[in-house]
Amino acid sequence: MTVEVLEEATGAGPVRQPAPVGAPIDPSSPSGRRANGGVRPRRPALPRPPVPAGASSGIWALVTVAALCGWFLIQVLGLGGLEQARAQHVLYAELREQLAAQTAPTGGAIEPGAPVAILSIPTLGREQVVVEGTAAGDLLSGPGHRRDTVLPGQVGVSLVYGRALTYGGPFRSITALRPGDGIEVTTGQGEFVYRVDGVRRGGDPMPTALKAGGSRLTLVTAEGQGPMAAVAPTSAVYVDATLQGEAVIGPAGRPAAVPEAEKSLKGDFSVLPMLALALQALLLSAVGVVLVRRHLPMRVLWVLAAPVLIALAWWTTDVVVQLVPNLI
Amino acid sequence: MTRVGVPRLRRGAAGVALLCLTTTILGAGYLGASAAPAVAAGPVVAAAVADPAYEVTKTLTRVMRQPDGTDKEVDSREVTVVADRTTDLQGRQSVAVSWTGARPTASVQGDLSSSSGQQQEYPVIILQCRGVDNQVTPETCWTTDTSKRDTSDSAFYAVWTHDLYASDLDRSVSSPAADAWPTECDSAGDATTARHLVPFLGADGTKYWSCNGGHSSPPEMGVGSALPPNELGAITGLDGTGGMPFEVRTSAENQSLGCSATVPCSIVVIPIMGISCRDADRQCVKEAKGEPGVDYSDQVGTNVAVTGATWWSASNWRNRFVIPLTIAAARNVCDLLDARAPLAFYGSELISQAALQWAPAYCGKSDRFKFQANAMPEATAFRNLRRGIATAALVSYPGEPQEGDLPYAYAPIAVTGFAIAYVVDIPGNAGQLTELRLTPKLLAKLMSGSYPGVPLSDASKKERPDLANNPWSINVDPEFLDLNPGLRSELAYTKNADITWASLLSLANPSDAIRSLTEYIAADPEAMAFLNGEKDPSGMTVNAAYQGLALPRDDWPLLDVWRQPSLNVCDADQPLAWFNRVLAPVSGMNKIAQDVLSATPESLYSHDQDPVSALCKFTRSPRQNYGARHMLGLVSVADARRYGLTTALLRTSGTGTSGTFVGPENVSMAAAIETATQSALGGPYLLDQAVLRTHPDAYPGTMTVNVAAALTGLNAGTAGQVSQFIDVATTEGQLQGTAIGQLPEGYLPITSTGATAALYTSARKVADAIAAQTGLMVEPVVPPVITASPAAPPVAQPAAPPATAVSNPFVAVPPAAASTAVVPLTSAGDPAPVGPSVSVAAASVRTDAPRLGGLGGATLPAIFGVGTLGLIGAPVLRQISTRRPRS
Repeated sequence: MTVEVLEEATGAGPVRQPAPVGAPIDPSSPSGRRANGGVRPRRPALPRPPVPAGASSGIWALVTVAALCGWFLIQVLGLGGLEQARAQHVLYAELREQLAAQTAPTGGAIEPGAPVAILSIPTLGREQVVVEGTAAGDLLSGPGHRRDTVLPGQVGVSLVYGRALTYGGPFRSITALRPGDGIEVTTGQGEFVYRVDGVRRGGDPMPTALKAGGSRLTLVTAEGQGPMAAVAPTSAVYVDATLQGEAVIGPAGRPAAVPEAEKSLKGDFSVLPMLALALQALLLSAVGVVLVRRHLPMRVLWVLAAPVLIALAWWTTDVVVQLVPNLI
Repeated sequence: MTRVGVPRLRRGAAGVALLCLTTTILGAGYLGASAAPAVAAGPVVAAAVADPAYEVTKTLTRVMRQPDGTDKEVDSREVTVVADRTTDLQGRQSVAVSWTGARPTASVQGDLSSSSGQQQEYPVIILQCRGVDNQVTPETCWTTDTSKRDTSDSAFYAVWTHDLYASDLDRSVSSPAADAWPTECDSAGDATTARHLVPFLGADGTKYWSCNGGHSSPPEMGVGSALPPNELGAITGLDGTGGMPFEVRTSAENQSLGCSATVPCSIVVIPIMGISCRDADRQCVKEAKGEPGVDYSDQVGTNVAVTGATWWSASNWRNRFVIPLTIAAARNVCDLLDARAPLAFYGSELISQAALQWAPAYCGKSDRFKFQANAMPEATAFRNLRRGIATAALVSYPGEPQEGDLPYAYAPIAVTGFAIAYVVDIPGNAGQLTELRLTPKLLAKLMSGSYPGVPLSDASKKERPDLANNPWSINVDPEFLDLNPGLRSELAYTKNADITWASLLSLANPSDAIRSLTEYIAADPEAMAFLNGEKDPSGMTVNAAYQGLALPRDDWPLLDVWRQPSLNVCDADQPLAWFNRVLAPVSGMNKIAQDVLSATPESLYSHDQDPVSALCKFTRSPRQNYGARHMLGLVSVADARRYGLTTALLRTSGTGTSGTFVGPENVSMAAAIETATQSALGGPYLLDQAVLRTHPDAYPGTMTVNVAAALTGLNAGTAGQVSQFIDVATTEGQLQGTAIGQLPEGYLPITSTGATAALYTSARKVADAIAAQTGLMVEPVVPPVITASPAAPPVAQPAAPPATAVSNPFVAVPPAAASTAVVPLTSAGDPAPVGPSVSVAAASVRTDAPRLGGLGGATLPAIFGVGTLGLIGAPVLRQISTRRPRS
């Protein structure tokens, strides 16, 4: 509908371009010269019939779908990385301040999304701020610490989830870690060095029992198989690492369980209301652009509309991506 | 962003569970219906009846010496005394003492254990005494009230001074003699006032003079002592028979009396015949003043020669029956003899009587461990198990499944249940009611505060229209009286409003017993209709605060916060919700059992100013008098058996007042357990009340108690101990008896044959699985695939601090299957559902990485594909739609 209105108003749609009918051949033009050179002049093209209304909307629908998909891919694979880098920057500043003030969280119930640790993997040249919570939304800004496990450095098993592909893919290459590689974690309780025990996939034996008072850090991400491995992660993969040195004990009060959305390879469907709002805003702004368009020159319109549309598309994509399994 | 702190049950799992449950119910119903006759006919352990532990018949006489020196027998009766059990008694255990052939009691009194009980004419005095046979003397017999030992009267009425059989000292006006009179007892007897003391000999040899008003009694003696008196002046009916439960005290309750496994004691029963007189004293030769079976009246009075006040006199004492008792070894020997740290099991209070008897069979043995059972709400116990704080939980229902749970298995170790214990006296001193019938609806009425307990004032009625037309308490509810016609009476006191008659003494804590009870109520359409607001035929309606309460549930809440419009100054000053005062739940079923035993309600009856301090205080209803006792309480069957409490018959089928009513007996519990089903291998056997309704002979309060323990993560030693406990408890622990290690009354033995065979088999399997610690139990037909990796458990030891006890989420046993609650086991070949819930054999030793099925993983390629399609499609579509017309 929108598309058609747009087309009617401009009269400049590709379909309405009047085709020259029986234009006289200019002898001075190169083609005229070539025609003079014995080549049989091309028969003038018949006029293209106008595109029927149904097909027109179909075409515009396809174009819109393509544009939306394209934007989605550009954002999750490219721009999302920028977003994540920016979020990391802010989180790092926040956590740095908390570490200096000794107010960084050490246990108990921590607000999801708050920074809890700095995870550094020298072998991979990675340094990431780990946030609390493993819902898809939390993992947009960095690796997430599963809320029903102890914090890294504490006695027990700590789980950290990270995206493999989208939003910077902070855990993209952790499967390349080899036994013995170091992982450094800084939390409010100090710096802890873990050594990688190995990469573990479905069907592999479980790691051996922790010694009493031991601590294990397990990084979780997703990976694919077959030719599409790089772009279609399908199963969870684990990297276990054991703490070198003494583990600490944190305050009690950790959640005993997490919602389904915070488990590995789960989407967060609680964002659906938000998605409805985002799509509404996108639709309204598109309609608004079309209406304003009658009164404004094209260039002005683009300057005004583009930031709004891009911002809304960005927001919508950030919401949509939370429906996708969290480790991707 | 919205977050929920609790895990949501997956819809799929719930659906499967529902389907499975339905199938189970239908299946069980079908099976149960066909198996029912077999239960009734099947071999079931007979209850301990018919063969009394003590039965002695004696000829008792009353003799008058004639002026010519001959003895004339004025009364002779052949009395038989029977006691139901005499061995291995525990503290506060009841012994049912009954007799036939005794002289009917006259001048009947209410409070049989106080001194007024002894003031009746021809009572039967029952006492607990240290020693057996001839060691027993009045001096070793316990009375809580000193006035029962210190007798004084004007010489004119001092009938004991004319006793034919007494020694000279006992016959004198002062016994002990004036020159030997103890200084702490004010004055000796003299020519005008005779006085006789019966000192008490303590277990440690101390002689307590125990005289009235003196400070010479043992610490446990006195009217206001911690425990109510256990001595009785019991009533003989017009037919010469009578019976009372007599509460035995051990050295734990009464150190001065000091009965224990090493100090034998007796119950002494003295049917009072009247003093045999050595002369024709006018008072001594008298018969009863009152009519047999008629209440005491001040206008009539009594003749002291035939009351129980002189139970110690030689004439009465020679008519005694001495029932020898053996007291069970103290159950706390483990604390003394075994210094090892106990392995504590937490949970169900239903098992506590068995645990008391079992524990000494473990400690002190090098090949066993020190067992300890601690009662706490089952849900809490299971939470502790999940957190690794407890090694094993004792539960009746499976724990709520949670993601990240270890696999748990449940081994049934006891079949018992809840019971509604009562102590109700038949109006008109006709003795204690021995059969009380209750329906789910009556229980719902009692528990929901639908009886106000007091006549409501007009102001109250205005505030509470829902209660305005209700009977004030159950004793005037026609439905209850139709069921229990023996309680229907024209006597005025039976129609009084009574706060104790308005409630069922119940639990404040969550408990599986409450869950079972509420399941029983929830399965009854009449009860639920009432709770949902339907009017009773008599016009009674449910308390609005409880209307529509969702059942079943494992706690019974106090929902009604209404305060009666100021009853008095104190209520205006410190108001307390009225129904909190009526219902007054307590923390444990054992407490309820002891309250019912002594007929001491918990209801806060009065709220008045203390006369001394002028401060307001709540007062519990006083201990109820014999003849007018009326109390109902939720107890465990085993507690009811230990304390000798009578238990109500619950309606199993039928409607209204017709139907079948069944009490907690081994037979009826066996009939119920036959219908129990197990939802998954290693899961608990659960009863379905809907199925039980089709089995009229099955007791609806039947419950199992299971040991729940993890199947991975325990160290070998602990796992072995838990497994050993299950093994021992289901073998030697199921022999019914009173000896150490045996199963007390109130439990249906789990045996390899009969109704409990399936439970026995399951317990053995679970014991093996717990010992093996190899993860989820599987049917043996699926050989578990174990790799060469060491069989080390995959999670931190439970000994680690609580912070670490958060279970390892990628032990990733499917939560539903692990808890075995309602979801059946998936076999190894099942397709893996989306999400971390792949269930295969030996899952716990292998990484169970979640996989995405379908398009889940290929989201990005899919979107790319759609986008590309659009990009290509648009020009193509344009091309097609604008194809030049062929010229």
